[in-house]
Amino acid sequence: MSVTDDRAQAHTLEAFAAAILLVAGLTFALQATAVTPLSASTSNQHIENQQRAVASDLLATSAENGDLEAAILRWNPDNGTFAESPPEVDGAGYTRADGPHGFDPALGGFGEALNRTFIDRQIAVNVDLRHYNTTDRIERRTTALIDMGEPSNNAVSATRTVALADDANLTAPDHGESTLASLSDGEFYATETGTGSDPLFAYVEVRIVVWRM
Amino acid sequence: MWGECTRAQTPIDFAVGAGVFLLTLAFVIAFIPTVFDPFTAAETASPVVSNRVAAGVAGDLLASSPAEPGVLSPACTAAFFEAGEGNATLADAADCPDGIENDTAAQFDLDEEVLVVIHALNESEPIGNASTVPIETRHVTRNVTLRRGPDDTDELSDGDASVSQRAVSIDDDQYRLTVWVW
Repeated sequence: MSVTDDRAQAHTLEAFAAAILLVAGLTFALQATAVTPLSASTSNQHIENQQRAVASDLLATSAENGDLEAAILRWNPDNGTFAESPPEVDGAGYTRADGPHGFDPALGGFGEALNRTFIDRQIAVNVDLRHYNTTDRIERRTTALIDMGEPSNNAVSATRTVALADDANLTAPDHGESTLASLSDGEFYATETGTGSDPLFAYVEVRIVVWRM
Repeated sequence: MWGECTRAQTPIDFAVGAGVFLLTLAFVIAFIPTVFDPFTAAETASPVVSNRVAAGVAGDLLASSPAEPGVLSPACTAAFFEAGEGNATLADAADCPDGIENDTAAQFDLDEEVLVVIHALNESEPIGNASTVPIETRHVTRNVTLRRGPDDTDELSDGDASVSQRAVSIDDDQYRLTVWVW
């Protein structure tokens, strides 16, 4: 009699064992549901689709009103960078959009559109220009127009190809009289791919990558 | 003398044990519905619906050319937004796509309410702040408020709407087009 009744605290231990079983079951069920809105990603497919659509439309509308071409022609051939890009930048392009005007003064209408579309909403932007660097079109080069850093895993991109004509003027201050054809080889980031009397200078593919900061 | 009195703390032990178990059970039962949340169909329209409307409006109905989605034809834009319900005469004169003056929801085969607003690129409160744009048509320049949809948007503030957007340009000025479906 006295031996079998010497128990103490067994109920509490049992309850903890049962609780662990219940919680383990719940954890297992959570693992089994694949991707939920609670998963690691802060963004979801719909938002990415919207960003891609807006980025693509922004390129289309900026190309239509000439802002895009003006921005990629804002090249200073004297020092081989985009005009008024910050001197501390390693590379040719613009890095930041801080200050009240963001990209505006340096990049004209395209920069202003980027500010109002993306930067104001805490969305970061990279703009790369892809072009041939040799006349025989072997090698593709990429020149960064805007480089705000490494895109996240949720980044989306949109591209648009712009044709530059031989008689297009640079838009950088003090270089407005220079046409692309008048520059000597290597002064502009892209090399002429049109030959002879062909009025085409080169095609430049503009790629915009956006992601949430 | 040991007898039945050697068991220690049994009533307290039982109470704590049952308490721990019941608390855990309650937590698990309360948590289970949230596990299925992602899979229960939302009351609102799916995001795909508003995206389809946005693509249709910016890319087909209002675009000056299907090759340039987002570049809107000013006359068709005026015809679409005029007086909040479309202007068939203007649409005919400007040779706009068929159905531009139809009710937007009917045009896209939707039972839901549809609100289309074109506003400034950086507008954070777009519903009440549609852009008003002077648009030249053949006869006269008219100021068109670029908003089409029901005036009563109370249900929108509950947040149960599907929203999509596009960047558009009218006469070389850039705007943002936002579509709500609820």
